[in-house]
Amino acid sequence: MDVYQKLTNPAALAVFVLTLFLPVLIGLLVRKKTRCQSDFFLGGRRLSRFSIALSAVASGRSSWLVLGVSGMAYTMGVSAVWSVVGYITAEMVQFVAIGGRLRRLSEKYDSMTLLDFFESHLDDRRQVIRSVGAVIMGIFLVAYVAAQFNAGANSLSVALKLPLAVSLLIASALVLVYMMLGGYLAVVYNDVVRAMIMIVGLVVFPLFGLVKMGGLPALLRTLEALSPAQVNPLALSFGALIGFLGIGLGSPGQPHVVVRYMTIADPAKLRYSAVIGTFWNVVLGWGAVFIGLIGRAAFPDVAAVPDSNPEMIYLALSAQYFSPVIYGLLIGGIFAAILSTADSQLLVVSSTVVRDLYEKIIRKDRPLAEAQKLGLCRWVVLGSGVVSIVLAYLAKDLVFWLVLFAWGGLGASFGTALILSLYWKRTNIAGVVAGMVTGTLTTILWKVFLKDSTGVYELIPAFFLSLAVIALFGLLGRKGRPYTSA
Amino acid sequence: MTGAYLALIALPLAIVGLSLVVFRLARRPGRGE
Repeated sequence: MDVYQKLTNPAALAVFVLTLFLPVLIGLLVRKKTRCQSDFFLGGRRLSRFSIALSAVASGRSSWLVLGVSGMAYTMGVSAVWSVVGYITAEMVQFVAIGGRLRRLSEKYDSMTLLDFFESHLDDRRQVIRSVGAVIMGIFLVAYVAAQFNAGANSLSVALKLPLAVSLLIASALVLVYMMLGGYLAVVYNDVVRAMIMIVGLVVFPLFGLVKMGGLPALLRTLEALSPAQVNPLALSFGALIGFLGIGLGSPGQPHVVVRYMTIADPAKLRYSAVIGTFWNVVLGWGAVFIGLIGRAAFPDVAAVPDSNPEMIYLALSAQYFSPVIYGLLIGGIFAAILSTADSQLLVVSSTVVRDLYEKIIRKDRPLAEAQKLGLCRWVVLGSGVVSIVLAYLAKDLVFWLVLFAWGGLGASFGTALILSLYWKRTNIAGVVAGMVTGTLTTILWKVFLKDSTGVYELIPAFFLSLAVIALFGLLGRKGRPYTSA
Repeated sequence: MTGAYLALIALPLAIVGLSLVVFRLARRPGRGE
C-alpha cells in the first residue's frame, strides 16, 4: 500500500504545496515588524495571549504527537492516553507558575534568552552558567532540529519521490527563508496558522473516523472484540504509567517553549493562555489517540499498515478516508507539526550563538550596533540551519542518538534550575551549573546502562537528582541573590 | 468499557476543568503573577 499515492493527484499536491509555502508568505508579511534584535528573538514582547498559547503548544508538539502517539494508541489501545496527560498538566501549570514570574523578571533584567535570565538573576559575573548552558543547549537543540529536518525530508522524499538530499534542502530552505525574514514573529504567527491546519488533522479527521465507525460505543465494541486490553485504560505496567506521566517533567526545561512566556505583552494574561493552551493540547492529544484507535478498528492486522509500522496509521487512514484535497491538507498537517518545532528550536540555537556566546562573551567589551545585531541574527539562523542540514544528512545516526536524550536532557538540565531559581532564594550559581551537568549526564548514563534493567524513564531519576544537587549546593553554599517579585 | 469512556471523555474534560481552576488560582497575588 502506497499511502502517498494520492498525492500524485494535482489537487492534493496543490494543497500540500500551499501548506508548505504559506509560512514564507507570513514571513514576508511580518518582515517589516522585525526591526531589532529584541524583535527578532522575542517579537518585541508584544504577543497576545492567544498567539502565545497556540505557539507554546505547537512548538512543543512534533511529529511524535501526530505519528508517535497515534501509533501507540494503535498498539496499546485506550491506555495510550496516559502518554499525553503528563505534559499537558505540566504545561498548564507552567503557563502561570513559571511564565508570569519569568516574563516579569526577564523584562526587568532585559533578558532575551533563558541563559541571560540565569546570569542576571544569580549575578553570575564569571558567566559560568551561560557557558555551560550554551554547550548543553547547543548540542541537544541542534540535534533536535536536525532530526526534525530529517523526519520532514524523509516524508517529503517518499511522498514526492524525490532524492533525500533534495527533500532535505526543500524542507529546510522553506523554514530558513521565513525565519530570516521575520524571526520570532514569523515563527509564532506560523504556529497559529499551523494550529488551524492541525485542526483538520487532529480534530476533523478523528471526528469523521468516529462517524464512519458508527460512533464511540461501536468503535469500543470493535476494539474490545479484538482484545479486551484495547479498551482498558489501565492495561499497562506501573513503570510504563509513571514513565508516561514523567514525560511532563521535561516540559519546564524546553527552552524553545519557555521562551514563549517571555514574549507575551501582558504577563497577567498568561492565565488565559493556560486555559487556551490546555484546551488545544487536550484536543491535539486526544485527537491523536482517537486516530490510533480508529486505525486499529479499520486495520486490525498491522500487516495491512505500510511497512507494518503502527506509526504509519495516520497516513494509512487518511489515504483511505479522504478526497485528494483534504488528504493534501492532512499530509501538510504532519509537516506543520514537524516544522513548528524545528523553527522554534532553530531560533533558540541562533539566540544562543548570537546573544549568549558572541554578544555577551566574545564581544562583551565591544558592543554591536543594533543593525549589526539584526544582520548577525539573520545570518546565524542561516548558518545554524546549514549545520543542522549537514548533520541531518551526514550524521543522522549521531543525530538520532542525541535526540533520544534531548527531551529528557533539556528537561533535567534547565527545568530544575529554572524552577528553583524562580522559587528558592538559596539557589546559587554552583548549584545551577552542577544541576545542569548532573541532569545531562544522568539522562545519558541512565538511558544507556539502567533503563532496560529498571524500566524507568531516564528523565525521572535525572530530574530528581538534578533537583537534589541544586538543593544541596543551595543549603551548603553561599546564599544566592534573593529573587525579587517584579 | 466504563474505564474507556472515563479515559476518552471524562479525563480530557477533567484536565480542561483543572485549567479553569489554575485560571482562578492565578488571580491571587503571588501565585505566579
